[in-house]
Formats: sequence, C-alpha cells, structure tokens
Amino acid sequence: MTDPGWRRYLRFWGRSAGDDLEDELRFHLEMREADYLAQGSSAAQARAEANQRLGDLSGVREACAVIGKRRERRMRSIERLETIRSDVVFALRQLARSPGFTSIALLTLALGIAANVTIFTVVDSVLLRPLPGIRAPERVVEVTSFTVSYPSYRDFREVAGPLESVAAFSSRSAGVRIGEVTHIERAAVVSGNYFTVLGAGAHRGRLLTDGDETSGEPVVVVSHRFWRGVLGGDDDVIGSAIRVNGSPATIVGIAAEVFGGTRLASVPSIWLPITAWPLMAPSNQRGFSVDERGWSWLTMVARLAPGATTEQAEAVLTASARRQLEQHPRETRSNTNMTVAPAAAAAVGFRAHEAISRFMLVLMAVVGLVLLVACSNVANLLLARSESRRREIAVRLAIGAGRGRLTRQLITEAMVLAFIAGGFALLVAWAASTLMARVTLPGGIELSSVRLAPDARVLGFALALATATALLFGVVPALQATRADLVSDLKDGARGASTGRSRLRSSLLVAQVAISLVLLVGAGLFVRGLQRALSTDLGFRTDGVALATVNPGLVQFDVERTLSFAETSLERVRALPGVRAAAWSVLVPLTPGSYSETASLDGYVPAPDEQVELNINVVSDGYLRTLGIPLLEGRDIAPNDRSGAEQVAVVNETLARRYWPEGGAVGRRIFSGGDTVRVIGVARTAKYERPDEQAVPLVYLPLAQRADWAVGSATLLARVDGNPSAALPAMQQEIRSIARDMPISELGTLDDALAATLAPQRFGAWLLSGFALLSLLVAMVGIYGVVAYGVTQRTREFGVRMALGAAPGSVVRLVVGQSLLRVLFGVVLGLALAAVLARVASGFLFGVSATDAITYAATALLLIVVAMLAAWLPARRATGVNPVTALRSE
Amino acid sequence: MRRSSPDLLQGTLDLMVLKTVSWGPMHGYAIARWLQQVTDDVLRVEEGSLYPALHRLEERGWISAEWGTSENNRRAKFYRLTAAGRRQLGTQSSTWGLYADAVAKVLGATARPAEARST
Repeated sequence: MTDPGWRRYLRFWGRSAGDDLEDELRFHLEMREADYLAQGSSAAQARAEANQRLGDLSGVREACAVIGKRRERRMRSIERLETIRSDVVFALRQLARSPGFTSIALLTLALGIAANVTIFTVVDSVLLRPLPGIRAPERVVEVTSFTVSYPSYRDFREVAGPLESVAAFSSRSAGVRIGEVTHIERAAVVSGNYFTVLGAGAHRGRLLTDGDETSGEPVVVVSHRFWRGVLGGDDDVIGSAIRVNGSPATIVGIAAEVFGGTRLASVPSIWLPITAWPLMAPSNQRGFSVDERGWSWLTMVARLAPGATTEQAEAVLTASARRQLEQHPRETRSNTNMTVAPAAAAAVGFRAHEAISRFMLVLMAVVGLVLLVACSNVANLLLARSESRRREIAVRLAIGAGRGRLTRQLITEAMVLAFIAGGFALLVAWAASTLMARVTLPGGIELSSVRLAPDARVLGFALALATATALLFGVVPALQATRADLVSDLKDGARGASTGRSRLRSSLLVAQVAISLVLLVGAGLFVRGLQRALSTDLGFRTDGVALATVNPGLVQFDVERTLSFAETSLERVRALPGVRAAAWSVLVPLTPGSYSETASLDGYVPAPDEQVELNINVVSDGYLRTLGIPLLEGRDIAPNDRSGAEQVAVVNETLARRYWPEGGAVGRRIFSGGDTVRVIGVARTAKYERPDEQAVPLVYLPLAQRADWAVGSATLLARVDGNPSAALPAMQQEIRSIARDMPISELGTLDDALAATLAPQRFGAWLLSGFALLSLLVAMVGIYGVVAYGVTQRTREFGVRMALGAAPGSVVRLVVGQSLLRVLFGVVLGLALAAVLARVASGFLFGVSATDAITYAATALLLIVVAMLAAWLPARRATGVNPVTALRSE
Repeated sequence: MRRSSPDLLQGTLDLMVLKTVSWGPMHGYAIARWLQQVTDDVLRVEEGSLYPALHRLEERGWISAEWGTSENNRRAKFYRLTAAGRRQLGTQSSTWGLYADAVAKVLGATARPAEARST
C-alpha cells in the first residue's frame, strides 16, 4: 500500500507530485531514445520517434494531475482523522495520568449533565411530546370551552372544513371486576371514531369503531398497562368477559403500548363506547340517558384539516353552537363561544399547563445553574492544571508545535472529558428516571404513568449538552494555556502565575459563589414554603386519622343501600378498639375536589351583580369531632337529622361572618335549588383542599338527609389511638364484611393525603436542596483550590513577611481577607440574580414572598461562613511557612 | 477507436499492466517495452496512456510505487503488485478469459442463426 510518509518525505525536499510525473516521463523518453540510438537511429530521429510513441503529453499530464489531486484530498482527510485519533489517545493518556483531577471533573460534569438530561426527559415527555401513540399530534386539538351532551356532540361532528373529524370522550372511574377482585380503574367513555381520529393503533385485537357506537354493544378496549398488570398479559383475554360496574362487557382489543389517551393526569385503563355507558354506568349516573341534550358530560377532541388553524376551528364550532341554540333553545347553553387548544397543551390539564410549565422552568433553571457551576469548576481545575503544565506547553511551543495545534489538543481533551461524563450522565439519568416515576407534578400528573425512558432525542440532547459544556469549560483555559510567554515560562517553570489567568480564576469563583447562592436561596424559599404549609393551621388535626374511600355506585348501590351501608359500617368502625371517633365525608380533606352551589341566604342582600356561591360538603354526625374542628355556636349534626326531619346545616365561620356579620347565624335559613335548610351550628373554618387556600364559605349538610351525594364516593374517617395505618386492615375488613364487593379506591391516612397534596413542593424542596448543597460543595472546593494555589504561589512573600516579624494571624487575615472580597462580590451578584429568578417560582412557595428577607439573609450568611472556612483551611498553611526554607527555595 | 470502446481498452490495459508487474517491481518504461515484446508490437498503444493507468491502479491500491535505481543507475519509479492487486488480477483475468471465449465463439460460429432471414 501507499505509504503516506514517502510523499511527505519528498515534500520536505521541495518535490511535488507534478515534479514526480515529469521525472517519470523524462526517464521514459530517455530510455526510449537510448533504445533507438542503440538500434542505430540518429540523435534527432531517436528523439522524434520517442516523442511520437509517447503521444499526447498534455493529456497524460492532465489525467495524472486529476488522479493526483484526488489522492491528495483523500490522504488529507485520512490524516485529519489520524490527527483526531491521536489527539484523543493523547487526551486519554493525559487524563489517566492525573486521576484525581479526572475523577473530580468527571463526577462534577456527569452529575451536572445527568441532572439536565433527567429534567429534559420529563419536559420532553410531559410538555414537548405529551401524546405518544397519536398520529400527527400537532393537528389534534381539544375543545376547551365546555363539555357537551351526546346529541350536541353528534351535531358538532357534522361540521367540516377546518375540522377533519371530531371525537368525544369522558373520563370516569369504574369498578372493573376480574374474578373476585374489583379494581377501581380510569375508564374513558368514547365516541366510535375516537381511535380513528387520534390515529392510535392496537397492540392486539381491534379498537372501537363507529359500528360499536351504533350498536351500543358492551365492548371494551383495554390499555396495554392494564392488560399486562391486571389481566396477566395473555393473548386469550380477547373475547373474554369482564365486569364493568357490575355489568358484563367483552374485551375486543388491547391498545398500543404507548397510547394513553389525551390526558396525562387520567390515563385510562379501559375504553368503552358512549352508547354502551348506560348499561355500565354506576348507580348514581343511571338516571341519565345519553340522548338527553341537557346532560353535558363529553369533552371533544378534533383533528384539524391540514393547514387549518385553531381560529378557523373555533369559528365553525361556534357557528354550529349557534345553530344548536336556535333549534334547542331550552337544552342548549346560551354561551356559544367555542374555544380550542392544542391537545398537547391540554394533555396536562388545561389549567395545570401553566403551573407545570413554570414548575419545569424552575427545575430547568436549577439544573442549568448546577451545570454552570460544574462547568466553571472544571474550567477552574483546567486552568490550575494548565498552570502546572505551563512548562510542558512552553517546551512544545518552543520546539515548533503550532499554537492552533496545541489549542486543538487541549480542546480535544475537554471534549473527551465531556463525552465520557456524558456517557456516565446517561447511566445516571436512566437510573434517575425510575426515581422520577415516583414524582407527582402539579396538576396531579403522576410520572409513573408517563413514559420516561431516555430515547434518541434524549441521547441527542445529552450529546449536544456534552459538546456545549466542553466548549464552555474548555476553550478559555485552552486559549489561556497556549498564550504563553515562552521566555519567562521556560525560565520560571511553575512559579509566578500571570495576573490575567488568576483574574480569570477569580471571576470564575465569583460566578460559582453567585450561582450557589441563587440555588441556596431557591432551596431556602422552597423549604420555608413547605415548612409554612406544614405548620399552617389547617383548622383541624391531621395526625391519627385513618381514611377509606368507597364507591358504592360502582357496585350499583342505590341511595337507600348506600345509606344503610354507611350507617352500619360507621357503627362497626366506631366499635373497633382504639377508634375514638369516626364519620363519613363526601369530600376527602386536603384532596383537590369541591362542590359548590349558588344560594340565597336569610337576611343577606347580594350586590347587583353578585352571585352567592357556597361550597358544600356532606358529612355524617361526628365529623367535626373526628377531625377536631371546634364548634363555635349551636349544635353539631346529630344522628337523628335524617330524611323526613327538618333539613339542617352547619356552616363555617367564614360563611357566618361574611353573610351575617352582625351575628346570629344559628336559626337562619339558606335556600338553594328548591331546598331550604336551617343553620343549626357554626364551625371553625378549616382548609379544605390545600394548605394555602383562601378561606371559603362552606356548608356541611347531614349525610342522612343527602345520602344521594355519597353514592358516587364517600370517605370514612376514623380518629384512632396510635398509628392510624394500623387501623386500616380492620376498617377494610368491616367494610367488606358488610358489602363484600365494595370498591375501596383509597386506603390511607390523612397525613398521607396532606403529603400527596404537598408532593410537588416537597419534591421541589428536596431537589433544590440537594442541588444547592452540591453546588455549594463544588464552589467550596473551588475556593479552597484557588486559595491553596495562591498560598503556594506566594510562599516566598509570606516567608519574607514572617521573617520581618508579621504575626501568623495577620498573614491568615491577609489571605482570607482577599478571598472574602471575591465571595462578597459573588454574594451580592447572587442575591440580585436570585431576586429576579425567584419570581418565576413564586407560585410554589405557599405564600412565602419571593423576596423573603430572612431566607436571603440566612443563605448569604451561610455561604459567607462556609466560604471563609474553605479559605481559612489553606490560609493556615501559609503560617506554617518556614521563612528560611521559603527564601532558600528560590 | 479509443472513443468507441474506452472501457474495454482501459480495462484491458489495466489487466495487462497488473499481469506485467506481477513478475516483480518494474518501472513504466520496462512495462511498456515488455508489453511491446510480448504482443509482438501488435498493441501499439500510445505509451503516454500507460501513466494515467499506472497512477489510477496505484490510487486503487492494486499496485504500489517506490523510487529506486534503474539498471543503468538512473532514478526511476518502480511499480509493484500489492496483495489486493494480486486478487484483482485473479478475478479479472478469469473474467477476461470468459469474455474472450465468448467473443471467439461468436466469431468462429459456422451455423447460421435460425432467425436470420435469408437474403
């Protein structure tokens, strides 16, 4: 094969490929001439003959030049690859030579990149591409204005033009009975064209069709997850029957693994046709017919025609709504303004979208800052390393290595470092994604139901990030390192850092301190917010309360059966040992969800445009006592407040104060929806859904008078001595002994419910604290390194100072004082930056101000103290300098 | 002639060059002279076209070149067959053999094709 060396060797002597060819041809001609001469031709004849036989010389030259150039090009690219390869090998060798530096740099970078990749994975699957398994999801929109009835949906379905097709769904919970066990599952009641509109695929069997909607046969499609987890993953489930809310249904297919509908917060386990729902609806929804135009329960999703806009879609939908209002004025909503939003935005819940976006923005900012700290730390380490490699670099420059070549070499080193770190980071991120699966985002999105597996996009993100970080931390040190003053570097060896470089290291330090402070402030705000939420006076006691939520409607209990079940089970649970008090409540305390109704009140005249809206909870007797809510006036709901007796209510203090400010709430009447209730007591206002909610007016109605409210779901609360979790099995057993099939959708403690409500804040606090401490540690290592290095650089100066009689303390003060200045600068910068960034996070802080002075002061102080410690440790070494040795070492 | 079937000519020349240098390292002029002797001067190619062929073969890695000293002590470029060139020579010469046989069969045919119309 061709040795690339030979031509280079020749080039060394000033030869080129063209000269080679000329030599070759001249040799040929001369040989040919010599042959002719030997045959007896004259000199002139021989030359002419030889030339003639050689033929068209310019053509030959041209052809050879083309080949030569092609070879040259290929050789150059091979050489380039070869250079990169040798640079990489050299970089690996250099990194292996200093394992301490390499491992710290790798660890810092890997953690920084991993944090970013992990958060990106979540952002990608929740916000960027939240609709896996849906064809062309960018054309899928959700109608966000309001839900519609089935006949109304059939009308909307007829609109054409900008809307290619319109589907409808309603998310319901259903008791799915497999064998002896009833599972509470999310069911989506869907139009026949639902899967077609979304372009979803089947894993096995078939999906629902328009035919299913027409026939109304009880058929279901199950999710891949449900099929795997609950049905055992056998193929023969297709065609088999399950029971949905007590009615039989046939499984016709399994949806594609990735498909989970259009809502992340409620990923369905089963899908069934709208028209089959009346057969399977729980008892409290039995009264309705799907043909009722007044029953609005369906959410519409539509596929836009190619090129159509959401505005066009809104226009045709609004036009259809107006026609419907004309034709059915009594059953149709008078508001005909239809709005649509991209399904991707609606996927996290339309209202939650902003909260989640902000939450993820905060997290992205946090991990971005962590990566910045990591980069500046590695840049600092590289600078320190280039100081000690200065002599090597100077030697290489002196013997003729080009500056560009050396810079490239150093940047290659940074790239290699970043890519190895990126590889580790992917492993860490992969492990972290299983941890992330436990996280609940604001809006109740459990990441366990979202696919978080790092895919090609995440890989690409990690690669891009690694490259960016390498450039960020590698370029400046590399340029610095090769901008060497040859003479002084060769003379001095490692001593006497140039001021430019130490200034760069100082500013990196300031940046690290500033960023660490931002993260610390963030963590401080989150922790204080969480603390405040936990220490908020909820108006009741959460400790020692066990709870069990049941769904009588899912096993077709009617109102009477529900009430008798509720009363019997309450009696039995109260009789359990250790139970001090127990009660039923339709709402679970501290869990999102509320009921409200418009009402008018005795003696209260609303303002002209005011509509009195009262929150409602339906509870049994003993509710206030079970939760420890003080009764301020009158009496509590009693067992004999039953149907037939006078309708009564207990109101909260907020309601009483707002509508009857002069007092005397007890005895007054409230009118709502044709009912009249008399107020019998006033209870202290509590927090109902969230610890940070505003006080809302609320009415407690007796369960024995409103048992219909409990058919859908109701929660049995029991205050027990000792650990409330220990009481759960007994409660479950009592419930099941009365109603064997009763679905229990929730079994836990009130503290668990509170923890679940605070989960996003807790997650944020943990994450931020962890990252803040990490970056603090990294910054401290940076300060320690810079100070320690400065001390060794100034050994002689300290020696002189101490020889002249300076006290050790003053030397320490000198060194620490200098770094204090940088740290203070960083702190001021960080405080300003934090104040700006904290505004974004203010929604998650539970009323802690984004400029909470205590947090800022405390974190600044903490940082200064720790920074001083990091500076003091190496500064102390300066005092250990023996003046004689220090002076002699020169 | 060169225009009418350049591929055939070029391929043939390549094959002949490969075969020639398979005897041992040779410079361009020696290759030209040997070809001339062996073919009894039948193939009077323009000797210049030999050089692009040599360079192309070198580019493909079938032959390698090296500057050396000729029999009369002059600096000359010597070409030698590489391992890849040897493999190429093997396959190309068998293909060429089949090709030449086929052409010979057609040209040497005595029976008239059945489809040919009699004139």
